[in-house]
Amino acid sequence: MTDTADQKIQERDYGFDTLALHAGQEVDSATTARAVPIYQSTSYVFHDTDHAADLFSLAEAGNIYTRIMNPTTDVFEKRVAALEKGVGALATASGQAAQGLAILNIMGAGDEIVSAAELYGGTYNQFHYTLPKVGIDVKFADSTDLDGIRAAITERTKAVYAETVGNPALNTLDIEGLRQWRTTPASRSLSTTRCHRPIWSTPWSMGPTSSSTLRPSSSAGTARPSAVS
Amino acid sequence: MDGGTFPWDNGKFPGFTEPDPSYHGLEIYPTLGELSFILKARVQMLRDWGPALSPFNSFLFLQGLETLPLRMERHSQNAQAVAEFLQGHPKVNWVNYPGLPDHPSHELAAKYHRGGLYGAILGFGIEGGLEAGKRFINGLELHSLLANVGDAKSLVIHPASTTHSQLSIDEQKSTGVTDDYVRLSVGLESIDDILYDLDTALNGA
Repeated sequence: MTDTADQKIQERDYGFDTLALHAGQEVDSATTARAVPIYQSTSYVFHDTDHAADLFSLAEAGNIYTRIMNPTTDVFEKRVAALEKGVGALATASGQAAQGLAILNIMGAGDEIVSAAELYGGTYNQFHYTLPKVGIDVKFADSTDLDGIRAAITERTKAVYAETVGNPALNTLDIEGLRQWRTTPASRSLSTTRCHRPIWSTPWSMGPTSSSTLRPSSSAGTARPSAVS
Repeated sequence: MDGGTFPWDNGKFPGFTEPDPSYHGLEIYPTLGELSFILKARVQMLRDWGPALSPFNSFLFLQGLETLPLRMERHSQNAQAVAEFLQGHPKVNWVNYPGLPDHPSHELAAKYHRGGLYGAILGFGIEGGLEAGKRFINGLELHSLLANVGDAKSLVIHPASTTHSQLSIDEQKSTGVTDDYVRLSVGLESIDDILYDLDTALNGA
């Protein structure tokens, strides 16, 4: 996709199916490859020492190291952000990593999370056993009872966490109900999705919500990654 | 993924407003605004913890994304057909699928899920409980017994003895897991073949 095509996407507001095929890609000017090239490189050559210093200090955006940014992954992140109507996305090697980073990104020892009880078992392990070891306590509450979740929130609560579709209970989270009082406790709401592809619902499309769908690196763990979103 | 609307300067998130010495005193939220959550996660969390997605896997995910809308339609159609089939089966005590009109989340699911599609995942309670569930799963030919969901191929698992086995009985109940709960992830095979496999295994359970 060219810059012009990117602008057209913004102007025309392309449909979901179109975005799934095109969003986030600019055709590589050197090769004009139609497919997204796989840039299997750990690192990127700087123009000169000033350029290198600017990238390291974040004065200029650009590729330094694939651990932080990669051109192939960049297309994936932009495409997912376009599909979910977010401002940005960050891909990780697994959903567990995405959750862990999202949590550590906004809190530390002494802080709390209020989480839905209806969780994937791996999430439960991370929350119940591992997070307390780094000083983050997680309280569990029935996500179908929003009053119960609200009652569990304290001054130290930095996030409310729920799966948009509970696994395996298959209860759908009342996202709008959660958002309506979100501003009162001033805590962040995080949501994740395993039973549905995350892009199948856009939590923040209901208004100025703070929801953050932790895209589990596109639900990475299938037997064949190409089979999943 | 972030919606970009959260007010990180509300006093509860000093990591977003205080200078970051690892970036020469950069103040994340005043400088980066709506992109703060994602960029902070990228330049601090990915930098320091390192669970980056491999470029090759990014390519595979992009390939998968291209046809995702088509696949989700078929996943949902097949799952709806399986749910309705199981509802009428004598070996099945209950069916949990948000696409069924009497499901407690049916209205919310219709509100939030694209295109009136309810996804690939459903659960059901098998007559005879745990032991019948084991016989049922071992009797399946087409379905794969594994812990994942969302594959193009049909999958089955018994959560109480696997994905949710670390939980106590009370904790299992709070997550919706019971002894007789069998979870299916309905794939893209011909629906007649999926139903035949389920029916044959149920009748042998």
